[in-house]
Amino acid sequence: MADEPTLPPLPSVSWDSGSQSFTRKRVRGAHAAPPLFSNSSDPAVFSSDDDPNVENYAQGGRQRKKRYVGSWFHQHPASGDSAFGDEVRPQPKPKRTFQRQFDSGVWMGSDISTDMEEVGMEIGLTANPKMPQLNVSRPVTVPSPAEREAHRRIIEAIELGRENLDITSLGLERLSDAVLSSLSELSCIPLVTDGVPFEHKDPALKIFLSGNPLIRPPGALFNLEFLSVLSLRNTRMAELPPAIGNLRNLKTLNVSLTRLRYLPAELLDLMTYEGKLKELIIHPNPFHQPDQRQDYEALSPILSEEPEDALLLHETDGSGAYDGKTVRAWLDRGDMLKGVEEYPRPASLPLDIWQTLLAARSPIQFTDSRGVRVSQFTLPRLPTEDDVPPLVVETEDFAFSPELPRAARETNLTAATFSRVPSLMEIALRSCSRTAQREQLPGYLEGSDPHHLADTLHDLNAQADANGNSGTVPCSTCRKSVVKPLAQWIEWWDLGIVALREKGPIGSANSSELDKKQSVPFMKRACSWGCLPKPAGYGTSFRGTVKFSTVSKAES
Amino acid sequence: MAEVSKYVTLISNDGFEFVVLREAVLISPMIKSMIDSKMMEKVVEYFHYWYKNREKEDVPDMDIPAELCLELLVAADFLGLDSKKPLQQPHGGY
Repeated sequence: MADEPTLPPLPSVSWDSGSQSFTRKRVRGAHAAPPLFSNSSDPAVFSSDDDPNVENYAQGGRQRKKRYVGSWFHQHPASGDSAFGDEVRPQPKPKRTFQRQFDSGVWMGSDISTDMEEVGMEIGLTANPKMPQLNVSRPVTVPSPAEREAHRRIIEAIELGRENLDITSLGLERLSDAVLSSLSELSCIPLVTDGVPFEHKDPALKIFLSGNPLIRPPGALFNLEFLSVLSLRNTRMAELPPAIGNLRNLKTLNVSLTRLRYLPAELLDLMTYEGKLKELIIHPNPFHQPDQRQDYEALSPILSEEPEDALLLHETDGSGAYDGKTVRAWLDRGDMLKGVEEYPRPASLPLDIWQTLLAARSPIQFTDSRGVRVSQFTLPRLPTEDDVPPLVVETEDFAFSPELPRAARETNLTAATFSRVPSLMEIALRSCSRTAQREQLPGYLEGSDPHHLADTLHDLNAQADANGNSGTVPCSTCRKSVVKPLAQWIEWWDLGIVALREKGPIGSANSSELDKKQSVPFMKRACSWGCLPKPAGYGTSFRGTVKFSTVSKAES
Repeated sequence: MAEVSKYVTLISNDGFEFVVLREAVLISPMIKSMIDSKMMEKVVEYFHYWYKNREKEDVPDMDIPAELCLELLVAADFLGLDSKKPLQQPHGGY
């Protein structure tokens, strides 16, 4: 036994020539050979025995049966016990026959024929596609010669980096969004001169669409961030979409000589002191007129007391009626900014700033999420024919809360009545507006679905086209996006722009700047009853605009 | 999910239960979409979303997957969830 070669300890794996792979070898104790055919033993596959022949075991009652030779990873049973000379030859390997293993993960050239056939047979087309197919073909519009000319000019402006885009008097009735939206890529070619460092300059686009019989301005116009001058003068548009509020860089807007009945309330947001809009040409237009307006002839827009929540901008000596008094100009902080600690100071003088004064408010038109009116009061519909004179619209006192629909007054008003939670219909519509297939949605409705839903979805698409977005409009109170506002009303504002200068009297000290003859109607909307207009005092101005007050010189 | 039962139980306002053959009930497209668990889950989620936020100033958004938007639109129309619930008058106020 001493001449026995010492072998490294046996690994727990052994080569199984039958399956050409390693198998786990059962580790046996030196003195505890388990009975071969015991039920409790492991299955024979785990055994190292290639030939579980009983003869292999019957060598003088020895426990150790086999020896292993060769490298450890090619262990084949070589001999039982060399000392006793009864050598056991390794079993000859069974001849390997080449055979394809289907899950081998190896792709073979011969796979292509069989596999493709199988796949093709399995998939097959189902009879009913999951998404309903549209039966209506989409209308194909051929651009008119005028539109082609407009496209040519737009592309030329982009090519040459020109900021002025003159598309006036071409007889355009419509202008597709596709070409117009490419204007957002326009960048200026900067002037490089000696001694002036190169600077990136944002383009200040100027678009002149005046003199065209446009029914509505193209929606893509309102996604042009760097638009600074927009002229839609002498067009046939009846409504300016709320998306005008996106044009934060707009300095001049000309919408005179159109069919506008009112302006979007979002325009007021551009007229705050932070806004750049300083020139607004909106007359003449057939604007809705209030049946009566707040009589503040006696109530001067110049306050006798200092306003609350306002920031002193400038003070100067009064003249004329205010001789001997000090006139102070204040920046109205408004409800929106109450409680804001750090209120940004406007730029120092000279400063051109808007003065606004609420003149009248119409009753509220309440609708449900489908757009069906639920209140007595209705806002006048937009007339379709030409040359309709300005309409007179009913008003209610804005110093009180707005009147609710009759049905609401008869029930008990709870906090939930004024809940800001959108209806399920509204939530579903918002989801519809976000889908990529928004335009095809009406066609996906089934025949059994109510017909007015198709109308609702068509309205959504029209609203999306007009606004150059997914179809939502902002709530005038909380600024949340809403598809179908639950309330709409018109507010008339008197507007004027005031030039505050270091020297000299305040421009509108005698309120001559404020255009009282022509109050301008603005369409406002609320996403829920929680966003209805609050009672407003007389002399209410829009936040971010200027207010005046006087004090006698003795006090100051 | 449990095996789909052959019957659907409809419970009336006054507590009567009617066990109806599922295939027969599917004639109503509304009930057909309502007994779909994905739809029912969203509608129930909305009830709780409304209840939880009804007196809040700042209401979080409720998310609706795009593939359910049309079905929910039809369901909202059927359930009268298109207008203000507290205003619904038994005799029709408007």
